[in-house]
Formats: sequence, C-alpha cells, structure tokens
Amino acid sequence: MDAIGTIIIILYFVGLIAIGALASKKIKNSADFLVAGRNLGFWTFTLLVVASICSGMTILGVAGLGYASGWPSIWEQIFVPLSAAVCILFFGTKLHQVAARTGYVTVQDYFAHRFYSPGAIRGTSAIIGVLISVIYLVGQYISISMVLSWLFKIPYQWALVIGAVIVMGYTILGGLYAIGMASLVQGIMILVGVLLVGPLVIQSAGGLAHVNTMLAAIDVNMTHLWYPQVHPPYAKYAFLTPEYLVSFFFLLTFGLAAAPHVVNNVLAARDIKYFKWAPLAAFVVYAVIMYLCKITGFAALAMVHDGLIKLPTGVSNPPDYSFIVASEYVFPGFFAPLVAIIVLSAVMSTTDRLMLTIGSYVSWDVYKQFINKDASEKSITLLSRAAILLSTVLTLYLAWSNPPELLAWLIWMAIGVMLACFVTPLFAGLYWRRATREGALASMIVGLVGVFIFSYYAKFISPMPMHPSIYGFALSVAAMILVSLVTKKTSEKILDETNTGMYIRKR
Amino acid sequence: MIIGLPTDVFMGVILVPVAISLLLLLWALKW
Repeated sequence: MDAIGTIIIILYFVGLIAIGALASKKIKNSADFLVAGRNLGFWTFTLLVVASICSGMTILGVAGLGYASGWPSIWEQIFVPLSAAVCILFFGTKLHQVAARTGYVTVQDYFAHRFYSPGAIRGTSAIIGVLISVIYLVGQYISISMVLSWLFKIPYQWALVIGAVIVMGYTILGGLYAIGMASLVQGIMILVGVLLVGPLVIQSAGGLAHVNTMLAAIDVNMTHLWYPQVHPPYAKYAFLTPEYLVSFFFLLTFGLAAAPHVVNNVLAARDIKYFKWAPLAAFVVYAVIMYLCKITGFAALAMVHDGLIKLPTGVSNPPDYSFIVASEYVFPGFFAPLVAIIVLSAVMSTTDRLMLTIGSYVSWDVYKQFINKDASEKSITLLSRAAILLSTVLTLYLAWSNPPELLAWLIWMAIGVMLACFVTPLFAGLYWRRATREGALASMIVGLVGVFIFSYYAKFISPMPMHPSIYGFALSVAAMILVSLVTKKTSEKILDETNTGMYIRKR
Repeated sequence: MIIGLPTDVFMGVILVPVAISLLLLLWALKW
C-alpha cells in the first residue's frame, strides 16, 4: 500500500463521516435517530438489510470456508441471502404493517404489545439482544483490524482504534439515517468490488474448470454438495455433512433473519409497498456477492497449490486471509485500496448497525421503560449516543488482545443464541394466535440455556453431528408450544391489534 | 462434467438460487 492508496482510504473514511454529518441535520427526535424517521427509500432499505447481515466475516469468512471446505460450503451462499428475504418477507411485512399504526421503535415494542408484557419479555429480549450484539461486535472489530493491519502494515491495536472511531463517529452523528445512507454507499462498493475482483481472481487462477480440477485432486468430495455422513467427520474441513447442513440452514436463514441488528431494520422502511419487491432484490444482490466471494476462496486454494500466492503463517486462521491475498495478487499496488474498501464496507455496515442496536435497546427499552418512563426525546437520543460510545469502549477492551479462542467460540455461539431465543417468539407471535406470554418467555429462556449447554458440550466435551444451536432451537419450539397450550390465551383484542394469524399481509 | 464439476452438482449450484428467486418473484407478483 503506497501513499496514493492511503489517501484513497482516508478519503473514504472522510466520506463516511460527511454522511454522518449530513444525516445529523435530519435528526429532530429519537425516532429519527433510532428508526430513521421510518423514512428510508426502497434501495436504501433493501441494502440496509443486506449490509447489516453482510459482515466482515461474510467476506473473509466465506472465502475462508470455501478455501477450507470447497463446494459443500456453497450452501452458505443460499442460506445467508435467503435470511435477508425471510427477514423482510415473513417478519418485515407484518411488523411494518402493525408498526404503521402503533409506532414501534424496536422489536421489543412488538413483543411487549403482542405478549402483553411490558416488563419480563421486553427486559429479557433487550438484555439478550445487547449481550449478543456486544459479542458479535467484538468479532467485527477483530476483522476490521485484521484487514487494516494486514494492508497498511500497522499494529493491530492502531487498526482497531482507527476502525472503531470512524464507525462510531458517523453512527453517533446520524443514527439510523447515517447508517442507511452509508449502507447505500457500502452496498454498492461491495457489489462493484466483488464483481471486479471475483472474475479476475478466477481468471488468474486458470479459470473455473482448472480450479475445480484442483479441488477434486485435493479431495474429490470438495466438488460435491456435501461431505459423507460420518460422525465425527473424517477431517476437520469435512464437517459439512447433510445433517450438519440442516442445522446450518436453520442457524443462518432463521438465526440471522431474527438477529436484533437485522430485524429492527424493517421498522425503518417508508412504505409497505417496498415489501413486495425487496425480498427478491435483497436475495439476488446478496447471492451474487456471496457466490463471487466463495468462488474467490476456491480460486485462492488452487492458486496456493499452483504456487502463485502464499497465505500468511502465524495467524489464527490463515484461510480467512484468502480473499485479501488473492485480491492483492490480481490488484497489486495501486488497486490495493479497492480490496480494503470492499472488506471495510462489509465490516463497517454491520458494525454500525450493531452499535445502534445496543444504543436503542439501552435507551429505549431499558431506560425509558424501566428507569424513567417520562424520559424526554432529547434524553433518549443523548443516552443512545452515550451507550454507543460506551459499547465501543467495552468492545475495544474485549478485542484489544488479539482474539483468544474462547472469543471465537462465543461469536459462533452468538448467532446460535439469535436462532434459539428470537426465532420462535417472532414466528409464533406473528402467526400463531394461541402463543401466550408465558410460552414466549419460556421459549426465550429455555432456548438461551439450551444453546449454552449444547455449545459448551460440543466445544469442551464431545463434538456433535449438528450445530449445537439447533438443539437449543428445538427446545425453544417445544417450550413455546407446551407452555402456551397450558396457559391462558391472549385476548382477542390484542391478537387483532397485532395482526396475529396464519397470513402475511392484511389486505 | 461441466467446468470441472459433476453435472448434477453444477445444476444444483445454479438451479437452487434460481428456484428461490422464482419463489420470491411469485410473492411479488401475487401481492
């Protein structure tokens, strides 16, 4: 990276801060800060959902998994884009339609209304949401600093602070308005970037046919759609068996769709009509990005075997560097900032949304509902900004020493918590009239405890054939059904107010 | 074999996302 490259990156950062400053002029009240005044346009909204899900782990981890496991990992490129469509279609359409009457600011407002529980469910959901967002945020910071320190040859800790200050800057300035406008820029950067990098990397690796021949030579299962169903798998990379892929589907498609930093975005769209085309638009844009990232990982594996590139040694997971190293090979020198901008856009667009989620849960769900019910608009916005600052400091502290293995386990478990805690209450709340307050609370708590126990067991005692979160999810579904059926049914008035029933859109 | 992949694998990799896109298109047209 030379001086010109550094200047390009600095200009990109300045642009993001300028977006924040521009957006801050639109902030008149707390709803402007927390849900962008419910006024985001179609593409801003669609790319906001995609960019919130599309994290640094998406770009680097997807190529890394492709490098390690080959074509059986392509299912990730189906399940993750599908999560954006599921979130918009199955959760978004109904939540947006109800919120147009009720003015929800967070998904907790919906839970509190649907499950007539202003205390227990709102509090439980908000606290779990804040905790997993903090853990997830640490993971994002680690990938920001990984990229910056690799490309600029600066110390890891410097990179960490630079990345955090930029994202925190525009998020505190402009809230969801800034995040939405930044997502539009970041989404386009990611899409254009991978459309440039992907084909060039494949070409310089010798074409797809050569890459696939190389994969088959390493392990013939790498050119199949799954690894043989044996437990434990015959190699560390061969974990994507049919059974595991089933749990992968639930984890990614439903877990990410119900994630706090994703599902709250549906409240910010301007018009219910957006929910007609947004599922398809989000899926197609995201699938194109992810397919190209994944194939870049395959190509990197072939290039390493052909001696064209070398992955770094002495890092915790070398395959995660395959996207950057392969891109650097086709874009030496001057174009290196392009690679940085792709990955930084992906990381920052998730980081900013996670920060705002923490800010809004702390100020809107905890402070306003439990501590000071008469809190003014100004104090809510101020407290959100303070919570964003505090959570940044906390996550920097957690990410400061280069990631220990326990942290990687916690981050991987955080998505599992999203699946086991939020998917059942959301689906049952929206579509099942018999779901009750007690059922929802039981399902959240049983799911949380279940994921912890199974994740601990899988990590420290004996590996399991499926992702541990699926067992927690199964328990949360069982708890929802059993407890709901033995408790008193929700009043018809509330069920009608919240559009509960087996339909998606009320005509 | 197509581009170095078994034919059914190649078809799966292409047809699954196409099928999902068609379902989402159906949702939009049915609106």
